[in-house]
Amino acid sequence: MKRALLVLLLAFPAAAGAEDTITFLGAGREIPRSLSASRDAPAFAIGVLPRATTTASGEFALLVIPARAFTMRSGFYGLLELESDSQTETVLNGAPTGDVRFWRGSYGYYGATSWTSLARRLCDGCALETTLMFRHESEHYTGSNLGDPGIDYSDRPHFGDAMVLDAAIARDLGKWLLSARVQNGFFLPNRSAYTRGPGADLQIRYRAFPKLHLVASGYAEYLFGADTRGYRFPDAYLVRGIGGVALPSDLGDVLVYLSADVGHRKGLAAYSEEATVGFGVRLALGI
Amino acid sequence: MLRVRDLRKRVARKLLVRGAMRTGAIGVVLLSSLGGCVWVLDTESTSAGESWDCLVPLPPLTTVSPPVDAGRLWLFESATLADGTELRGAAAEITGDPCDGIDLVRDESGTARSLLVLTSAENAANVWRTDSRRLALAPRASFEDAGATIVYYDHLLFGPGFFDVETIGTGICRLEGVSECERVAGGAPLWSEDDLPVRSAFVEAGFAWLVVCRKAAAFVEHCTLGRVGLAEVETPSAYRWLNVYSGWTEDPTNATVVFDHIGPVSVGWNPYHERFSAVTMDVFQSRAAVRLATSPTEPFSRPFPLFDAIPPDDWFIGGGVEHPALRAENGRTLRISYTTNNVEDPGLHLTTFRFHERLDP
Repeated sequence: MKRALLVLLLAFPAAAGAEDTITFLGAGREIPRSLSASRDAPAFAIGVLPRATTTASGEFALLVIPARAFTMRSGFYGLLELESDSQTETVLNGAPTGDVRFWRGSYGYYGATSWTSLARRLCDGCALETTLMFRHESEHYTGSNLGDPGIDYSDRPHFGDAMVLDAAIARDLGKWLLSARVQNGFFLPNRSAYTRGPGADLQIRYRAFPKLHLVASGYAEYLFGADTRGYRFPDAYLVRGIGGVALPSDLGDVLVYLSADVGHRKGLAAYSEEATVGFGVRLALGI
Repeated sequence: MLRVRDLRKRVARKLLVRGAMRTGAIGVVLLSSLGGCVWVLDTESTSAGESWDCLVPLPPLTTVSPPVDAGRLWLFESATLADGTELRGAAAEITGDPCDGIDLVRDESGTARSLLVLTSAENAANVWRTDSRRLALAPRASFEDAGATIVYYDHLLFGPGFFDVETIGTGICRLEGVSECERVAGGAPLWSEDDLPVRSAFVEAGFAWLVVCRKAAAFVEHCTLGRVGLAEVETPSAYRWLNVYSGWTEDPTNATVVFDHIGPVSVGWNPYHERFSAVTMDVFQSRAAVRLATSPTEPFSRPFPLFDAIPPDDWFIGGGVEHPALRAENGRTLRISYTTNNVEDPGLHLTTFRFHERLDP
């Protein structure tokens, strides 16, 4: 442990003498993703309409090393999502009902660098961050509990493994907080149904009142299909927006939102291209 | 004391928030009443390759049943000719691309003729029958050996109703060129009743291999694997059936099920995939698929979808046989025939399917 600390201090001389500022569990990013309209946003959420979709996801920095000109974070991202194929008909026990047919699980390891000095030179209230993440995702479905035969989804695309590079910029203007992010996924050959996956994210927060903010977020991605396992997988895209009311706290936000999207669904339902409008609730930690 | 500007900002902020919340509330109520909204725009799919389909031109006013592959010959259980008569055991010699058209094998007068012919005694028996039933012969599978084509065919009793068909036995005939298929054992069935429901036959390692699919229940057929030495093809007692636990057994009812399938199966060696392939047509989904195995005695893989045939307007798709003689690129390109009664494109179709790359089961 002491040897590791010494290595870190030598690597980051600006942090010498600042051992007490190195932390081991902190906010995942300088510029969080938890309010992103992406279906992969690290947040806990219940999508009520049009389909019951329950998401448990988070992104946590396991090691935060501040230096004079930048701050480095290394952390973990995880996601587990259950999605129904049927549309919501009722709410039972406070949760929307559905057949919970599909689910997907994802984990990732990342290193993020917040360029604090450069951001300050860029503008007041600016933040600049770049991140590289290894991300794995697998797609599944809920089989019968009654011993019925399974369903063959072997021809469905799988996210598989990818290196995701993203760059984000944010500006805090007091009442307004704006952030934008661009990303590209480089999928590992023969381990995914895709080759590349560029995307972009835009978030606007209006701090109307201390306990009530208005939030709008838009996201777009395009995944290029790959030739693998004998299949030629089709491309997939998603354009999604959410807008709503955020109730902020020290821990994060409770966000009640309306959503609208057009594009391909996620997981084993990825062959379905739809336009939807919906409603949900999200707990976005680490804002 | 508040300045006017600050007051204006406060009011504007409140109005903005109220407006947003009202809009949101209306949105939630609307969505709740509509159950959310989903508009399906498209449904993608993927396949192991590309396919293109053609309607096989036939002689005018002629229709045929799905063909049975016999190398460079296609054998038809029946063909309806231009004059409305039915010809059982018709055949077409494939000399070019069937998509350019095929013609039935004809005699010197130009009349279409059968290659699977009833004996005089059988014809006479048909004439004298009083139960409105008729004996006919139906080709089922074939393989090539020493320049001849060995054809397995069923003896069927048709009638009186359209769906009344009884299998009374299975026989073997030898086909050379476009001459009449020479029925062994004087034309008598070598297997009785439905003892040999053969779907596919091929040659491998000095044996003739058969895929036999027996009906277990309504719309359930179990396929098993049998083989016989090429010199003993005409000896039913020489056939052995694969049991993965005890080896080759004389008892066909003790054979291991290699897969379940209703409809045609075409099994053979595919050099492109360096595996044995089993091409099938799902009669319910009208979907062609292929399974692969490193050896006929090893488990076949899950089915890889190939293409969706033009679905019938009613009943089931006909055929779905692969024609190895028409392969290209060492088996990378396959050709599969089928019949459909789809009103937009009825008749005999031939689909060419080209794999994107070698499959990895």
